[in-house]
Amino acid sequence: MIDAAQSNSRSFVIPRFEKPPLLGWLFLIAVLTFVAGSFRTVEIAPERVSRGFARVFQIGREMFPPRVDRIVPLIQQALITLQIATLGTLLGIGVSLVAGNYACRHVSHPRLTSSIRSCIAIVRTVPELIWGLLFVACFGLGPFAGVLAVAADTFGFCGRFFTEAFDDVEDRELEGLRGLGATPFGQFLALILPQSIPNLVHTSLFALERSVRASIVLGLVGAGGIGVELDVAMRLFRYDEASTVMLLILVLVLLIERISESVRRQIRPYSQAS
Amino acid sequence: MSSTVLDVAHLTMRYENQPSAALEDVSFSIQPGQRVALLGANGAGKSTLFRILLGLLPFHSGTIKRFGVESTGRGGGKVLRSFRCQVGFIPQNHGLSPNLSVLSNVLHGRLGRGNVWRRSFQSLASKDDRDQAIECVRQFGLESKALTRCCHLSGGESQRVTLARAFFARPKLFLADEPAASLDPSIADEMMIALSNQAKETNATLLFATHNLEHALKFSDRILAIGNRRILMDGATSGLRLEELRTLYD
Repeated sequence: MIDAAQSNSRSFVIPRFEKPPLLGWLFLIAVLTFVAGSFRTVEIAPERVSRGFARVFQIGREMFPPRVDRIVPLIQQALITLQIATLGTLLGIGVSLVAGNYACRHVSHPRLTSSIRSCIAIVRTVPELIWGLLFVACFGLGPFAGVLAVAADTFGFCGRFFTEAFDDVEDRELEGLRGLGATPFGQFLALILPQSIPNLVHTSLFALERSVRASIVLGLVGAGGIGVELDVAMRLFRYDEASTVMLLILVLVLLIERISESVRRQIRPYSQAS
Repeated sequence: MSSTVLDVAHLTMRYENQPSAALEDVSFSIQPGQRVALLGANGAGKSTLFRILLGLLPFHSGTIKRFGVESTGRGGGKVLRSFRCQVGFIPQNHGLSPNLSVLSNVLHGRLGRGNVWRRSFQSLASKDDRDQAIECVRQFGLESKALTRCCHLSGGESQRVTLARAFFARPKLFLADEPAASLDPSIADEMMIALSNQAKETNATLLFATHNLEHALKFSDRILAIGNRRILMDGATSGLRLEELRTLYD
């Protein structure tokens, strides 16, 4: 009896992998074909890679020491980038707050909620560079187009997260105010908004960090700021000046991240409390 | 225009995905100035009834006249909102705004009336509103915590804020869903005395749910008991004994 049980347990082997169905195999083959095709399209050749790396070292050598004779105008451009990011983020946050109120399922009509959510989703799918190109075409070169592009990008980002934060409030929590006759806007202002503030601050800080990076890139399409300087320096092969611009960008991004982290630390007790 | 505060006739309500009704053929009416205790075991439908009365939950059949006006089901319509503005609602889960101060939460008692911004935040409130809110806060011994955010309060303190908010509303009808539930016995008595006195002084009607039978006998002049989805008992409190009420829970 024991022997039979042992021999049964020996013959019963649990397979290490499940055999995929035919559709799974077909999908796998399609993915592998696509990846192989991608390698051919991007023309990855060992000769090209080795030549590119040699050029990297050459450019790297030309970058140092960074050129500082134009440091003052470069700092001014960095400040313009910061201003584009800040104004664009504030504008985007403002619009997101208004849209978030109307997109909030607790206080808004379902049709209005879904149309605003769709609008936010459409804005979010367009990358900031496309917004930049569009606004430069509409409003001309310069920081104003940059501010609008950053605002649109921030609206897509914050709009979604603000709406989710507002939705996180439990319906039952609002009944106290509803029972006292509060209007939908009253409920939003007195409970939904204050309860979501820690979330909103977190999201807004992330949005600011994203906007600083976005506004640098937007300079490359003519939307003003330090990105323009980087574009010009690279096109004119002035790599020493380009390295100064890159260092300034690094300082700018790190500075914003530090400030943002410090604010986040300040509001942490509020997030825990709520 | 009827003089009845609440007139409920043949009310039936069923939750979605529930085979049996939560309330079935419930009828009663409450006259102005009455103090009514609502009794019933856990899950008997007391909170459901409160939510239906406030129009926060829809019902399937029957009629409800609020201050003589009929309105059906859930809705944020003017009639319903006008009724809610005359109610001092004390929900079981407090329903406070946790990130705002005690004083701001008390001001929310009149959020349905006047300027929404000025009644949302104590820092923007008018002097008159602020003084009255401070008086309500003082009445419940919370003056030292007036600017404390509600998320830092204990359960009992939160309950007192909820009562202060209802007092600030100066309502014609108090709907209190277990107003003394999270309070220790001595404070619970004090709170019930305050609620009952406030209702008397302002000629307001009081409908309160409770599991405390002594409170029911002491602070009401009429007892409504719900059980098995229906009204089990509806009668004057005078002459009733504790033992008789205990049988409702058997």
